[in-house]
Amino acid sequence: MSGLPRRPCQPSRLRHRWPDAWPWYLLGAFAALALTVVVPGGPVRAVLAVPVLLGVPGALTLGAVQARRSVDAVAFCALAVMLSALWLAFAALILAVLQVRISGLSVYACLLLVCCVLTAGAARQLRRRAAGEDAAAAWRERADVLCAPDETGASPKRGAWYAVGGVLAGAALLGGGALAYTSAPHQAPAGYTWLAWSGAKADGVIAVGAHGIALPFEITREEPGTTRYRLTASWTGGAKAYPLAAPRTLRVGGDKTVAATLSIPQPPGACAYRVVVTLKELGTARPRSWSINVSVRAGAR
Amino acid sequence: MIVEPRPQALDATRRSARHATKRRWPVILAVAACAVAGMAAIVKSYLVAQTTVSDEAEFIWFWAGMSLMELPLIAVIARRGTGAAVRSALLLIIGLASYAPKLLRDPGAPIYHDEYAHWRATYDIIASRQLFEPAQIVPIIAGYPGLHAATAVIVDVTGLSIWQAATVLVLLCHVALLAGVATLARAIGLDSRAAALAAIAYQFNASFLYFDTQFSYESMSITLVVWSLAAFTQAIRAQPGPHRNAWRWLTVVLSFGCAITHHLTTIELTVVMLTVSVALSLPRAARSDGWRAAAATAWFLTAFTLVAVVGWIVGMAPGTVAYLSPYLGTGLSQLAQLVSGSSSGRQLFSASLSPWWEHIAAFGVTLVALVFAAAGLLLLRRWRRSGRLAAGRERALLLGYATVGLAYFPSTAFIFSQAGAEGARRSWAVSWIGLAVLTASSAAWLLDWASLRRRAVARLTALGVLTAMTATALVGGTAAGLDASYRFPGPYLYGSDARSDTPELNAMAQWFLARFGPNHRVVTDRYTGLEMASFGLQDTAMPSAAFPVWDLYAAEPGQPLGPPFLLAVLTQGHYRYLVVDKRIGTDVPLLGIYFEGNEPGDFVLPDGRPIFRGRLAKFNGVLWMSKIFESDNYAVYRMNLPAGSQRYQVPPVPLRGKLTVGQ
Repeated sequence: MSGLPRRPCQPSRLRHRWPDAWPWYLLGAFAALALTVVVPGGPVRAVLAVPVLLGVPGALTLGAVQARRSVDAVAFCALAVMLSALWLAFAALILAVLQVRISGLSVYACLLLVCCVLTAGAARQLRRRAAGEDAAAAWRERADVLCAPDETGASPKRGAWYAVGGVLAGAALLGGGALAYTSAPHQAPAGYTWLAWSGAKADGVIAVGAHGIALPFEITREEPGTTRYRLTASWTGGAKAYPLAAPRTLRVGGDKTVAATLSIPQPPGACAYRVVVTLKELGTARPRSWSINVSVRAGAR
Repeated sequence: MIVEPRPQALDATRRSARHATKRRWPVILAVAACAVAGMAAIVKSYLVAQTTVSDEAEFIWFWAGMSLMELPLIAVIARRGTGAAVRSALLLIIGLASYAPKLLRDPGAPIYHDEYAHWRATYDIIASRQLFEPAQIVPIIAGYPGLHAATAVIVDVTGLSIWQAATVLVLLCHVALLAGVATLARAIGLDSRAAALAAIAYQFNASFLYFDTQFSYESMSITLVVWSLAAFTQAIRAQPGPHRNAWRWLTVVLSFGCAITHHLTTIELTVVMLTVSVALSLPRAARSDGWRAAAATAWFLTAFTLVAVVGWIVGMAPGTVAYLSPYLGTGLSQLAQLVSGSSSGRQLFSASLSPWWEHIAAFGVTLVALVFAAAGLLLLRRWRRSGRLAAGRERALLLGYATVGLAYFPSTAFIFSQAGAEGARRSWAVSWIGLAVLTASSAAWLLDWASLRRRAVARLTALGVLTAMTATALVGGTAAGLDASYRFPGPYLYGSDARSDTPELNAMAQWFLARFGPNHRVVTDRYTGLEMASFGLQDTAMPSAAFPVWDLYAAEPGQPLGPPFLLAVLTQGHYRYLVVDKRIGTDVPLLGIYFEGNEPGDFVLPDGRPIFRGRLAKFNGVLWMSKIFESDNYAVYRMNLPAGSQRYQVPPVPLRGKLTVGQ
């Protein structure tokens, strides 16, 4: 027994004290989770919802199986988190078995039901304890055989507050590191340019009607600065390429997308033509080039 | 009756408490300063790493930071005078802070191979509102929805992105893992100091810092395994009655949770429970009051876990056996070949980007573990002889967990086998649970022994050696796990899972998704496929000997693409798009594979060039293909299968069109 004087027991301001009614308070907290829908989805709602979602079902489970007092504060919280995470998965499984679509609402309803059952179990355990029903079976853990003689005990009164302090300190350290890293200057990623068809899908050989066809495409440049390009169109026959349209020179600025179109008349004959659009960089020592192609033939469209 | 203390005694007690508090503050401030400086050094290491493929400076900064952050905390935890609650709080700090390397590695999006797969699996649950949807990249994960379902629910309820929800969940699992190891060690019978040291020792295993912090089913499952074992052990230690029943129920819930979350760790959990149950059934080790009831509890819970894992595999994930068996079977046969001399085995760190001293530390961690484990065994022997560890549940539990821990040493042999290396590394996350318990006992004893040296030189030398061994374990444990390309950011590195994601690849995948929509069958290489199958929401081909898509790439120009059965499979499977990374024709992948691990081994020629060199331009001339997109490094082809018999115009004819350019 401590030599320090004891503080006289003060009447609780709550009608239902926490040690006697904590499962109901937790159930209330879980039920109140529904109110978080008024908060916009994202980090703010997560700050409100995650502690309840990943704490309450597990804590109630520990209460329902009467394991709450067998572990210290840190172990209790860690186990509650893992059990809560499992309850999320179990709830999804239950819904899957019942062939109910898994959504925020259905999972919440399922978990609320589970929490009600667990709360009833935990409250029953509390009543049993209060009534001394299992007092005869209550078992004080023997000292561990490997326990150091001067072991100070695993569950001091202020253990929970130390744990809260540890979490806050660790979170501050982790958050500070993440903030410092993300706010530090980072190397700019390498830029790129692309050329792509933007019209109808090139399913097989495209039929070109009597009025010809317009084949739209786009040039996207995700690089700093402005560059000149040469745009050409040709059709290939065997190993040779024949010009299809007068080439165009264009300037494309940084982070810009340019829309373009290749218009071609109905090609002669029944054969198909391989049409190729090529974009070539100008004014650089090692010019890059990009190309896209498609097959066309005369036909009704 | 309350006995009032004398005023003088009360004053003395208060003075003593004030002095203790005054002495404590400088230590607290120094440890906090070290932790902050350590975190700053880790951030610096990542900033250095961004600009170089691999630089020794990034490793030096990183390990200086980790040492500065963790060693002072470990020292305070290891002090005999530190209270149990303070130890628990410090363990929480270590748990949170040790998540920093992974958090900084990919704060905004998945980058590890399995993370892409799990991201997509979670997305599919959110999109379809159903479990057990077919999974991309790693098909087996469809049968283990524990992690994905939990993440999807968090996303639904909080409005966080998948990655943010995953980060929160994995972070909590990571912290709970350390708390679980400490609780397990307490349940076995260690005092709070040795239990905290067990948690510290556990974090030196190869998976702790990076592998088990990724968004992957194992990251959640390993924590469930540890807590299942903690509950299992508490059930054995508890007296018959409500306490035992409570822990029985928790074991049942947790082990079933494991079974729905991950296959391998649940199998390993069953093996550990089996080992402990056998130890509890040995009269020489376990005979004491109520040992039969304790053994019956252990066997019942082991049987339940076995039924759960077998039932889940048979009923919900029948592909598990086919998925896992090649690793064990091929690993064993390769090891046999290695022993018989018919094979040269795997060369360790052959493609590693890490410095030489990390390689030495990786070997050193096994040596350090061996020293502590041997000391632990000697200590147990001494306790047994002195009567401190009498026959009973505690002795049986220690015997069981020590056996599990000692399995680590033979498993290291599999590292020399190509197929067995991955399995061996995965097993360490579980075998180190037992090893941590064993080594923590000896570590606590050695610390006491060192602290009790009368001569300051001897004391400091002994403590210095222990600190050096701890630092070696800290560095070596991680070095024995993932390669530097996984651990550090850096420039694009062809053929590395974790450094293949570029803005260009991302833009191509998003262009494809916006243009054609999701769920198209796409043929591509491994590294492009990760992005296409995750954020691109496409269904990528799973290459194999029966579906050798690499033959499309390897075909020589002028030769028809094939073989014919491949085109038939592509046609029947509705594969419509081919995405080509042009670097496949010029670069050799860091991981040594272009498509999958089962691809032929001759894709890199003796001169070091890839076989695909000069063979990619042929796709532009394949008449059943249309090139619909080309960027600096990627080309997307539409495959119009089955190939038609359309004739193409060869002689020149007058055909004039017009190019129009507009914003």
